[in-house]
Amino acid sequence: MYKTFAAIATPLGAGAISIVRLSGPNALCIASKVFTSSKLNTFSNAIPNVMYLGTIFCDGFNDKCLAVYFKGPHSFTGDDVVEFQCHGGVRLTSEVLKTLLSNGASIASRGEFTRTAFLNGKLSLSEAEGIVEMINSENIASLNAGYRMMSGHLNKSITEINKIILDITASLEASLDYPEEMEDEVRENLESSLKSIDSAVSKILSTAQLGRIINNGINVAIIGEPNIGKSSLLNAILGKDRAIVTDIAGTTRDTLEERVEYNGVFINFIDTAGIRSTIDTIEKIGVDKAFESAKSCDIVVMMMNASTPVSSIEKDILSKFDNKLIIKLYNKSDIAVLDHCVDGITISARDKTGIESLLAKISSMFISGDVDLSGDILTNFRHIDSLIRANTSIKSAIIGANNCVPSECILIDLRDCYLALGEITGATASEDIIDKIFSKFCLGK
Amino acid sequence: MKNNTTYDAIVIGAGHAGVEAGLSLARLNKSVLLVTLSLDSISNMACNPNIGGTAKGHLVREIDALGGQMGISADEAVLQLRMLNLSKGAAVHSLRGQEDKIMYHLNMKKIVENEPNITILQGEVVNILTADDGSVCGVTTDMGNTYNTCTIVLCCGVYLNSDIIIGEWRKAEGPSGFSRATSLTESLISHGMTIRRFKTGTPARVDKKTIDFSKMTEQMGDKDIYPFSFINDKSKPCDVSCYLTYTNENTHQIIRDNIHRSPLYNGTIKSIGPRYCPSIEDKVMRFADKDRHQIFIEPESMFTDEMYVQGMSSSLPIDVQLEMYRSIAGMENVNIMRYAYAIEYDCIDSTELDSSLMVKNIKGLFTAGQINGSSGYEEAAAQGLIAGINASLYIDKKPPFILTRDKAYIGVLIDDLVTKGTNEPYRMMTARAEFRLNLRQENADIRLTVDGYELGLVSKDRYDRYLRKTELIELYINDILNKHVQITDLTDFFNSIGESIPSRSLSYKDMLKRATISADMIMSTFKELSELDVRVLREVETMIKYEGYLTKQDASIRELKKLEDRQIPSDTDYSIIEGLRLEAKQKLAKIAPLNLGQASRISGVSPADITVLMISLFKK
Repeated sequence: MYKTFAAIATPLGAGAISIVRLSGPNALCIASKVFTSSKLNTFSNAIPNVMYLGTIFCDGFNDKCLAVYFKGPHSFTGDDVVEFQCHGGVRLTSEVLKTLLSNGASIASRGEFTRTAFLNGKLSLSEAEGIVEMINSENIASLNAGYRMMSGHLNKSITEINKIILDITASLEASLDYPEEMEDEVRENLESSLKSIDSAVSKILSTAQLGRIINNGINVAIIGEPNIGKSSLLNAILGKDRAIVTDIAGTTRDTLEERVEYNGVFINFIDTAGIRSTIDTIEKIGVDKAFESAKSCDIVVMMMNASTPVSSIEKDILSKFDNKLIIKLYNKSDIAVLDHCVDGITISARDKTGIESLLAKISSMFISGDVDLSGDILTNFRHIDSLIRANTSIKSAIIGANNCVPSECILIDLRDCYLALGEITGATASEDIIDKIFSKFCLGK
Repeated sequence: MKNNTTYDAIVIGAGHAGVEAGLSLARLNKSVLLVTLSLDSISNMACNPNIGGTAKGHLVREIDALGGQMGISADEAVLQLRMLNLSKGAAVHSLRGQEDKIMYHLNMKKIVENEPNITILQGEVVNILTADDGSVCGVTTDMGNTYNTCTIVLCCGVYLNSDIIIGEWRKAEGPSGFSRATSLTESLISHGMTIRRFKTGTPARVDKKTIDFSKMTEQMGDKDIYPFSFINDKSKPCDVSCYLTYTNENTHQIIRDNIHRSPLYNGTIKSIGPRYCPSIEDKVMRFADKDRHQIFIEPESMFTDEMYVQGMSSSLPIDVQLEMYRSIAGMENVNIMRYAYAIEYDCIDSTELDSSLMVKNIKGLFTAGQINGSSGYEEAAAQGLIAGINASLYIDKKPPFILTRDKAYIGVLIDDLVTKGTNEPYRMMTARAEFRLNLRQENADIRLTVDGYELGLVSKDRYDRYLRKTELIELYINDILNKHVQITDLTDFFNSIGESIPSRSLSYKDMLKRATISADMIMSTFKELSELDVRVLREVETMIKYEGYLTKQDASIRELKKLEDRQIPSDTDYSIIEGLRLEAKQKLAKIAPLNLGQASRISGVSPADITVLMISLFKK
């Protein structure tokens, strides 16, 4: 089977809808594992080019989304393609992608869709030129000092892991190529060595979430009753009039996103329409969107009035987000600050006071003291995919070692693991292994 | 033959590469002039008296499946056969034969002499002649003769400007006392080729009568194993023993005391030697923690008492050699008949070759064997065979025959040489073959017989054997082994092997999936299997046992194929491709890969470069 690739096809974090694309011979099969629609008993029966509304099952949550199947060769890449149109926001989109990866898709590496499209003869000249431009600009980006520093740390940890793999591989390989000179005891400690690799890979993978935040920013939804001052807050943060601010309740009808940098971390603020029962159709859509946006964000800032008691609607809203990271923000401190405000942060959007403590609170929720920023930070999906594949391979090697599978088979998994990690560091298996064999053992006649 | 000075092809050198090249050309109906420095060096085994071993045994089987000569001749001159790695999986089982060197040489000489399309000539080629368009047109010899041809296969081994080095002593000579070739290097340089200097070595030969074998461990061969050639169902009788002994602290002390006299350590030898074939002084100095090293005493031939001392290659002075050899158990009174020596020689940069083994800038000039920077008889023979085949195809103006990495060790060997190059004499290892599970000794015929047949090198008889085998495999896998065995019949069997009795009936295939159950076991237990071909059944067992891992490997192979299917035109100008990094441009221009797969294996070419390249090709 050729590989099936998955990738987020729309810019991350922007827009209310994200498209996640799955392409390859297993696209339909993987899609049917994670997506169901009431119109079909299984998505594998989907009619090409028809859009289905259904549910996508991710790790820990489900979400409504649209899915459409394009049968190869009548698709963008020429292979079978399934596209999911799901709610926007970095977290939700990322989770959808992760789900596809854990169900057998591989992350599309740089230009992978284009490459597949090319191999299947489905690429236009301008698209081809676009991809060259992208690679060019990525090459330039990689010259950036910060990028280098970040990848330097990751490379170091992965190089350490690959050293262990190389050590084990060299021992096993040497006993295959030099059976008369190598004693067969190399397999004695095999399992425990493999397990140490497994835990090292898993540890780096666990930083994936943090890395994503450093790369793409923390998504913060601002919600609250109409006219509570959400748009004023955003303007205060950004220092410019991005949102339309009027005195008429319900002015903000679309979600707005703005990015600020605070202590080196990007924070993406998503301003939402005020949440209240409404009869205005347009506003109704805005309100739904507000909930959607909030749902897919990392942090929800619940804005309330410092000078009045918490309303029943507010209590209702708060209860809807009980399992979210939520910050209670009391605005209008310039009028009065009631006692109950101690459980949150008080600000005045009009006077622009308290903004700093809000930003500090948000960044501290992620970049807390016990997270070491100089550690391994996974910032891109290509790296995450490499590590996931490394993880799968090493687990398979452990099972092999457990079941007395011959060395030449275990070596396939070890090699896959090494190569997957090598995609991050640039290591290649063949010569590395042979160099190691001869530096480690006295072999040859 | 057109006349006595014009040939379809001229093969320079009659070692393991030259003989295969000459024979394949001749068998493909080309007139061949085979020139060698000495007729007594035809197929000379200048170093160890073995053919095969890990990965090398695979190469021999592949050569055989394609219709080459090495396997058949090795079976003829065999003194002992061993199957290495039997405790491991079938993919790494490796056949090694102790060979009678003299018999091997004489047999090969006779075979070459009896080949009607081959004209044999003793002499030294001093110049390669090219026409105005840069393509090959002939050679001249030291005696002043000119021979015309459009195709040369250069298989001159380690003979170019070679020096023998023993301690402070250095002699301008080839291996085994044969004379060297002194002018060809200059001719190659004048044609623009890069020349490098490599080094290798060989241990002493000692007199059998002066060895006390009672102090050594006898190493006998394995019984009842299949020989090299697929056309031989069983090996001829061979039960000559080898002997194992060890170096000791005293040996190591002698070496340490005299290390300043070692050309390797005092700077006399600057060329690059192989890491996998270290001299004894190298082993002692680099692995000081090892208190002893294995030494194997192996017969050179039944026509001589010379014994080969495997593991004791050295370039120390002769007085030190004698002292250290005599420090070893069983060799206290040993008489050295030929001293160990190091040899330095000129070779080319193999990245100047294309995948057909033709020099990219000199049309019609093919090279094979140690001149390409490889080492080993089997590596040489494999290249010789492919160079001969491609020289023949070149003459016929047909596309070259290129084996891919997933198809044969030969493919890995040649791809490594021409794509990555080598900085030391290159030895085949199973670790180099990423698709190792598919590349088994026992399926070399399945992989390659059809190619050999279509090329015209494989006889009808060999081809029919192949067809029979594939039919049987098909029959066993899809029919016979799918039969289910009733639980009652299984009970006795599982009791006898001490395993718990399965709760449901099993097919033979299910049984063979288990690590503890072998083809031989079920054959001897279940009557309906007793008439099956045991060799084929064992091969089927391998396929069944490896199944999951083979599937994994097949997925990677198909990935590779997609890239390999994308040809890169030979006139591609990499310097004008926008988006390629400078390093990639330079490397790609140097290697001139045939396809994107090969391009992706060049060191210094990244996946992003491959995408850029792919798109630029597409735009054309």
